[in-house]
Amino acid sequence: MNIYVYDACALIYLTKINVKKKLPLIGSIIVSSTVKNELIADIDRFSDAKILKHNIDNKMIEERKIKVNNVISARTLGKGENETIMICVKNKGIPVTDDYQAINYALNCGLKPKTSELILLELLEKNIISHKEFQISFNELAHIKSLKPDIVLFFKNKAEEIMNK
Amino acid sequence: MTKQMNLRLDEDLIKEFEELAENENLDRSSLIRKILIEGLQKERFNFAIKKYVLKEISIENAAEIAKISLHEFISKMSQLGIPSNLSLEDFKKIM
Repeated sequence: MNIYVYDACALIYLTKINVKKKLPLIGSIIVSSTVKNELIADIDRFSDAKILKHNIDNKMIEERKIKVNNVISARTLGKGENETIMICVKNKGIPVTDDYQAINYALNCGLKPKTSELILLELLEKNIISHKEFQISFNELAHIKSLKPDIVLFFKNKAEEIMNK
Repeated sequence: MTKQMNLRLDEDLIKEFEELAENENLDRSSLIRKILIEGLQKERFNFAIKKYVLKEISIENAAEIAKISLHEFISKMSQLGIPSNLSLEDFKKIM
C-alpha cells in the first residue's frame, strides 16, 4: 500500500472536486499535524473544512506527528509543507502537493512528488474513475486553479493516451 | 491597546474623509481606521500573491503573509483567476 502524504492545498483542491473518497483506493491519506490544523481552520466559513474535519474524525485522513529540525527545513516553505516532505523522507512516502516550492524541495530530497492533476490521472489509470469522471473532475480543477491552457491540453492528452493503451 | 499616530494629509483628502464619514455616519477617526485596516489587509494579500506568483514562496507561506487561512487564500486566488504557479515544464519534470 502506497503512503501518500498530502499537504493542505492539494487536499483542499481534491476535496473541492469531490474525488477525495476515491483516494484511499490508491494509498493511505496521511497529513502532518500542522496540515491537519490548516485543513480545519476557518471551519465556520468554509464547507470544505467541515468535510475535511469529518474525514479526520472518522480516520479516513490519518494524522502523523513529526518534529522538523529548523536546520534541515526549507525557508521558502511553510511548516506544513516541510512536515509533509519530512514524513515522506522518513516513511518512503509520496508527497502530494500543488506548490512549486514544495515540489522542488521534494525532488531535491529524492522524492517523487505528485500534484492533484497527477492523482486524477492515477485514478484514471487504475480504472478507479472513468474517462468521463476524469474529464468532469479535471475541468473543475482547471477552473478552480485557473490552469493555463497549455497545462489543460497536456493533461487532457495524457488522459487520452491512458484510454488508448 | 492603542497608540497615537500623527500623519500629514492634503486638505483635499481630509475633506474627502469628512464627507465620506458623514455619509457613512462615522466619525472621521473611525473611518480612517477602517480604511487603514482594509488597506493593510489588501496590501498584505497583494504582496503575498506577488511573491507566490514569482515562485519566491510557497502557497502556505503566502497565506501566512496574508494572515488568512489557506482555505481563504485559495478561494480568493480562484475568485481573482490567479493561476497556480506551476508551469507545464514543472509538470513534465515530475511525470
